[in-house]
Amino acid sequence: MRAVLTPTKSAEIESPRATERRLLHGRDDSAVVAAHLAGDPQAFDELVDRYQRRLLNFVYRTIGDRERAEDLVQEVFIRVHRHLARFDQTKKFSTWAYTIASNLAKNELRNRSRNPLVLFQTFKKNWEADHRPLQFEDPQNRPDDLYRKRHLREMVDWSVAQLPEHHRVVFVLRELEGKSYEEIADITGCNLGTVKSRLNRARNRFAQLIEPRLD
Amino acid sequence: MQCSEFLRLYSDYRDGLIRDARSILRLNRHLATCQACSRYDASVREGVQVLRQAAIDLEPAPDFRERLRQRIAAGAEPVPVAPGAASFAALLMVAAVVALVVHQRSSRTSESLTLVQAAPVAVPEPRPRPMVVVNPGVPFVMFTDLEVSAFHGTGTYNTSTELPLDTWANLPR
Repeated sequence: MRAVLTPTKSAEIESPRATERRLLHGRDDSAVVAAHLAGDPQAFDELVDRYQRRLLNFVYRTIGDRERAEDLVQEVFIRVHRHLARFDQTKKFSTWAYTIASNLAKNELRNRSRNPLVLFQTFKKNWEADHRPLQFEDPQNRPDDLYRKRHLREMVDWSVAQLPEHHRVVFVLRELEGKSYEEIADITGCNLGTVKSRLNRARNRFAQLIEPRLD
Repeated sequence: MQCSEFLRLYSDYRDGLIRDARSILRLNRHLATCQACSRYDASVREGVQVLRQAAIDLEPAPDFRERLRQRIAAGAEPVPVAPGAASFAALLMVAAVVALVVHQRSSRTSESLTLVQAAPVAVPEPRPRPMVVVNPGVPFVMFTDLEVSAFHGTGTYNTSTELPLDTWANLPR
């Protein structure tokens, strides 16, 4: 009988760099921030990995421009990189990053609306959104079924874009980013009562817009 | 329960913030019996579900990381600032400025004595006063909107008040 040697798979050896990256991946934000400040060259990349898509989604939903949103998210990371040494590590890194993103997005929208007429229309729209009674049932807006099914995602995108900026920010932070009311208050600079009120109005308006397009 | 009450309480209900069992029962009962509010709840849930799926599909451009690295490399190298170093540097600057002011005043005094002894009294040239810049660090967030504050919670500051840029070190921790 002949002995048959079956080739065994050699164990895949993980490089030290990959090991360090894997270890970073399992740590919380404050530990990664501390690692970056201690000189770990991969720690900042880990923070970018964690937050690039989430921040992009948040800024894009706020300003409605995909390309510009990427520029602003880059600006967020540049500022984070520049000021991380001064960041108060007793606070949540996530809240800080979202606060920077929220302010950049707000400034972007403000810069776009320099036209006095646009400004007035924005103020009027925001005031009406804050004072319109909560309601539902918009029977006038009923597109046909085929259109509804094919374009549901576009309709959802459009519905979010129709929300006034100060409602949209709160809506996205709560529904998509899962932020608590307290975090949203920190990020937007509002008190809790205002956050709740805006969120309720945003959901109300969103439901009004999207309901005719759903099955 | 009226629909208006349901709509008013909807956000708290959706976010699980209503703790009172009786209130939860009333809301659930209204949801089960009112077609309009049931459609309302379904609209929010289904719409958000579609939105979340869209969020998963949204990815940065392939060159996002490389562009970011280049932009960071092009900017000034961030120097980690130890907590005590900034205030020590500020103290040195203040000391240097004070020494300069004292030197200037003493120079003027000796100059003025000499001038009194000499014939015409010359008016000394006005010298630019030194500007004291303490802790010239950049605040961690740049604001153009003076009504937006940076922090809530343990401590707040409002940029609409006269808050100079050098108060980074004094921000509440």
